[in-house]
Amino acid sequence: MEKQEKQSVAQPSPIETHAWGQMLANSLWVVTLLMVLAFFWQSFGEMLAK
Amino acid sequence: MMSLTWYLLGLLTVASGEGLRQVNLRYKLDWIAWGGLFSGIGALLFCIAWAVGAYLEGVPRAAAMGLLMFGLGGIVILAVVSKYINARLEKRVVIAAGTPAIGPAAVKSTTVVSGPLKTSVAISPFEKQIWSVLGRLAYLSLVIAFFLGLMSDGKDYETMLHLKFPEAKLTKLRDNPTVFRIGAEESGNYALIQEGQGYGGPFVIGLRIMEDAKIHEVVLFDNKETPAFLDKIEKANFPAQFAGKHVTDDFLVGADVDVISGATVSTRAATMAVRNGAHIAATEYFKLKPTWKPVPWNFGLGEILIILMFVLAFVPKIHKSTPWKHLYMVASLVIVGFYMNASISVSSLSGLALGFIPPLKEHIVWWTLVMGSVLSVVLLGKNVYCYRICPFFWVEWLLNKIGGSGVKLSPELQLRSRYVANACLWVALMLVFLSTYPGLGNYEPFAMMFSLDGVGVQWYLLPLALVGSFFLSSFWCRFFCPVGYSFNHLLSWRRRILDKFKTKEESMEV
Repeated sequence: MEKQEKQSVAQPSPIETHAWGQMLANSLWVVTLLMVLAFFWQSFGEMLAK
Repeated sequence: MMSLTWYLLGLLTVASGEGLRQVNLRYKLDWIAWGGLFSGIGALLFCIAWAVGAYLEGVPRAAAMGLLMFGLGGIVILAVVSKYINARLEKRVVIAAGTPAIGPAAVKSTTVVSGPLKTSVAISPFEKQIWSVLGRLAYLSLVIAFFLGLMSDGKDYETMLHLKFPEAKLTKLRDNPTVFRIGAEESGNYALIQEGQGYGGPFVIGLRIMEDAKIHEVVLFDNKETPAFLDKIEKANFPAQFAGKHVTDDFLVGADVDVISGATVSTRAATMAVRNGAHIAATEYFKLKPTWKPVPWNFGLGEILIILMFVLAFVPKIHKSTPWKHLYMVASLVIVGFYMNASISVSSLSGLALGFIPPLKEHIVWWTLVMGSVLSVVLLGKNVYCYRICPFFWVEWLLNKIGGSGVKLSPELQLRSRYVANACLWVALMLVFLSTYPGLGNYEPFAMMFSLDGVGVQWYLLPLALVGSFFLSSFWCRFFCPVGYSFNHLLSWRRRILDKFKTKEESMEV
């Protein structure tokens, strides 16, 4: 058991348990939010033009 | 700008090369992993070049398609390769340890490897209070915006008509609908302003009818349609087909009026306005007997299938047992998505709030999905649309099955994402209520997904929502969808009202 744990500790982990997995998720959320805000900006311009 | 893109792409290529070297040092890649990573990264770099190039040329639709085809393609390849590398890794662990690395032991070991990721945080009572105050202010501002919008709505169509026919002498004959006589009293020439109801709101049209009782000109004065649909109507020069038609004609879409493909609802709304105007002129001013056919019920295969889908959404067994669930998913994608393109959007809901209700006879699909879903929330307390009928949910579900990664937002963002989504819904509703133009708040990527209709920035939301759901389950539904959040608000109001009634009844009994 100890040997197994030692072996697995030496191996890297899959994406979901990595900090950069969380960073990827956060970035996707932020970029999507920015696009939604950009859409509102576009709509605001259209509203003023009407 | 393009040279800057090439420069950045060069930097990214070098960085990717170094990244690949590091990955190789860490994981000892074989030729399959090398090939996969190489093509995945290549597709992503190509996607950036394509998207920027298309954007600079002013074709956001092509940019979005590039992002989807090559971006999502690249990510799918990278996800499959990462799974392959992980599988090889587990194999190595098994060989090295002599025991299979599955079950809780393996899970425990991987958690040890990654180091502690923060999994739970809480919002401070002060911040909670701030959000609560902001929520109340949001409701108040929406009510104010609603009435402000209604008060300021109403364009001066008479002036528009005067501008359209500057040389003519216009004499107003009646209001609602507004009718003018053009020229002298016995001229027999009329100009009418009429409305037809679309999904987004009234479609206002000006008609010029001359003494031969024929339509000579149709002008689109105002509309609240989604810009992508209006674009199709304008490109097809839809009003031109009415010129020369007699006021006693039927004006029925699909019979004597050509439908504009992909803009059926807008076509029906505009035709309704022309029909109403022409028939009023026929009976009131030309004293002709009504010989036209009544508007038939628009009830075909699509309507039957949508009603069936809606009814089946209430059957729990279908959504629990695997073959039925999958069949329902295919039906939702094919029927609600690609065949009818009838997804509910924030513009449908806000249009309903503004009283823009299309006639049942011609819009059974709208009544079934929008009215049916809202009524099932209000009367039964059940949201049968999200996670069941909505085709975009199933697209996300499928993508997440392929991606299968369990990445999560950081707990801080997860906690606040609900407030941010509600803030987005608030902005959308403010825009709609102040302008009384439901299309302005329509930031969902549904129409782009199923009929490739979109304007400007909307095109970039679709690839982002799809890539997001590839990594995070129901990415759009959970973090952004205004329809889901609107239904949640309705459900919470319903619960509060019922609770109040219950407390009142209990206090009466005591």
